Amino acid sequence: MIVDFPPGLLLIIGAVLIPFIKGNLRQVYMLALPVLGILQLTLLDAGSFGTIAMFGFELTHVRVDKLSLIFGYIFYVAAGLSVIFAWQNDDLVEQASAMVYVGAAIGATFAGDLITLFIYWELTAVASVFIIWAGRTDRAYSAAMRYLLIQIISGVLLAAGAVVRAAETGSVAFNDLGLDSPGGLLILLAFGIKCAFPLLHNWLPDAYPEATPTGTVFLSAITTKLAVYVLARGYAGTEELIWVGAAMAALPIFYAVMENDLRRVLAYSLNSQLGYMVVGIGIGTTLALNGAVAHAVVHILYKGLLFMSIGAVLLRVGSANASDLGGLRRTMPITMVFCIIGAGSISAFPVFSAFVSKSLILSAAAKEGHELAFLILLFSSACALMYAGIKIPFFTFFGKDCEKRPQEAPLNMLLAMFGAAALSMWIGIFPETLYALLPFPVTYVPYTLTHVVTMFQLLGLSALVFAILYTMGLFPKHFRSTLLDFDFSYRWLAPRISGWLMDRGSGAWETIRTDLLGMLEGVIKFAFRHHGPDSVLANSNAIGNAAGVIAAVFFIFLIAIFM
Amino acid sequence: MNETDNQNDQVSPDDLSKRKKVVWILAVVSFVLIVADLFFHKHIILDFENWFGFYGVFGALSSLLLVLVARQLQKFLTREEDYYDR
Repeated sequence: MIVDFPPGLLLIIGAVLIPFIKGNLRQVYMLALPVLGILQLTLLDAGSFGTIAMFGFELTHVRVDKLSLIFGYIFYVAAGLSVIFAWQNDDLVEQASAMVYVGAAIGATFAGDLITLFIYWELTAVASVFIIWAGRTDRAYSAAMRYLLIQIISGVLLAAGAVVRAAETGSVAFNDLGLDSPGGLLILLAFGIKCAFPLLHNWLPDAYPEATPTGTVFLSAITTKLAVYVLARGYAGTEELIWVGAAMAALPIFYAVMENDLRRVLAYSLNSQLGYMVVGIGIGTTLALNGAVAHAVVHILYKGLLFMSIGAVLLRVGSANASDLGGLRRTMPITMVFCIIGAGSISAFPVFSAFVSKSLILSAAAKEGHELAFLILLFSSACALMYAGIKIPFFTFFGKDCEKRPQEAPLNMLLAMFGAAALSMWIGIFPETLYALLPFPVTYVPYTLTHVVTMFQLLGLSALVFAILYTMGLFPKHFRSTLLDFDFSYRWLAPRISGWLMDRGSGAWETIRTDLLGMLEGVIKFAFRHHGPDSVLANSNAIGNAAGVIAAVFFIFLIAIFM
Repeated sequence: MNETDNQNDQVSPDDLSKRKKVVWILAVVSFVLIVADLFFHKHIILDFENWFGFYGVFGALSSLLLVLVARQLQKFLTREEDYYDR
């Protein structure tokens, strides 16, 4: 019965057949998998199944409720759009690992216990590494190795936390975890790595931009949003997360505004947007949680759309660096329109999607009296227009002409962008459709005069400041470079410290070795003096005498016994 | 560092006048948006939201802060492209 089949397994098992299907049929098959998956989700009833007892614990393979369902739907939708976007890509490694990756993330979404979650959690890590490796460059290879290491650490922490929790509570059920116990802290750290918490975030801007134009689109949708889901499940209302999220929303945007590689700009802005969701989870009211989930859903759509449009540019021009681009509107006008829709969405302009999700989180922060968090999120919102909303389309399609005249993006890519843009706009215009799927009932009305006017004020003045700074030549210039981030600590500092220690260590070892050799020499000299050819003990007479003495002693004993 | 910057350098007078025009249009729009505060009753939650022009001024200051700080950060965080690969 298809209904009782664990949702994620459909893609994982389905991926096995991918190598055996040739030609366009393979893409058709890969598109059919998520479509079937969505169909299955519509048939699922709330509740649990696949419960088994193992190691004395009760494991629940599938737990269906509104929270897991909405993430399941959006992961399948993202997979479907990404498959269309990657239609012309015949890289078997990327295709198969992408299916396993999305399947594992969906499996994790429906996992009802920490052990099942751990298995799928590690599978997303391993499968996604192959997507980065599919970039097939030296940079991609080493970035993927760093990525794998960090993701595996996350998995190990999750396993350790699950074991500690099982010892503490006797259960591995994955419900509200909280920070009251050491186990809860370990698991939060595991989730925090995948969610790119500040200082744990560098794998994201490091690895995502090294994948292929199509691979990055898969990656951007899944890992971090899976982390948002598990945080919402396990740590709703954990107040510390408000501050973690606020730092996340504010810090990466400085990098986004400086960075030259536009896919890296998008990775930093992705990180910042995750901050909103983490703040929402930290506040933990039904309004805030709805906001976090809604923002995750629309974020997958518009961030995917932005990665698609820049991916299409990368495919056609061969570079995603702002310093190599400009004026592409002349030959890629349709991609430009989709990019602007994505940019309008991330900036949260009214009628675009993020407007209806960000306002939920902002209102929740204000209602619960978190003024500072509210102001930091507002700061990040105003800046989103500049570092992404204007920067991405402006330096790609407008600005100074780079004198390249690439072809318009291929039809399949335009179709995928159309799908993401249409869904995103639909949610922006008819938010009720999204609100109906959220975990809690929604009474919130985003389109009030106050919301709309204040948002336009925030963004309008921000745009004016951009225009003035750009005209004065004060906007940070783009050129090929590396920006030092926290990865400096493990890509530069740590190797040098260990190198220094090795040098120092080898000096110390040299001293120890000399001393040991000196001692050994002393022993040898001593032994030589007493046992050498000219020494007393080397005297053969002495041995003979000794033997004679021993024989005499034995003889005396012998006599004595028989007497 | 590879200075292949293709923005902001050598702006033609034609471009500059176009940019200035955009600045003026945005300035007028911004002015209208701020003045709109006088003509409707804001439904707000926090007190400071009700200050005249709060959202507009906050937006302008935020983006100004972002760019000015980023310009300073860029000076000492920028390294050659192959910095980690050497």
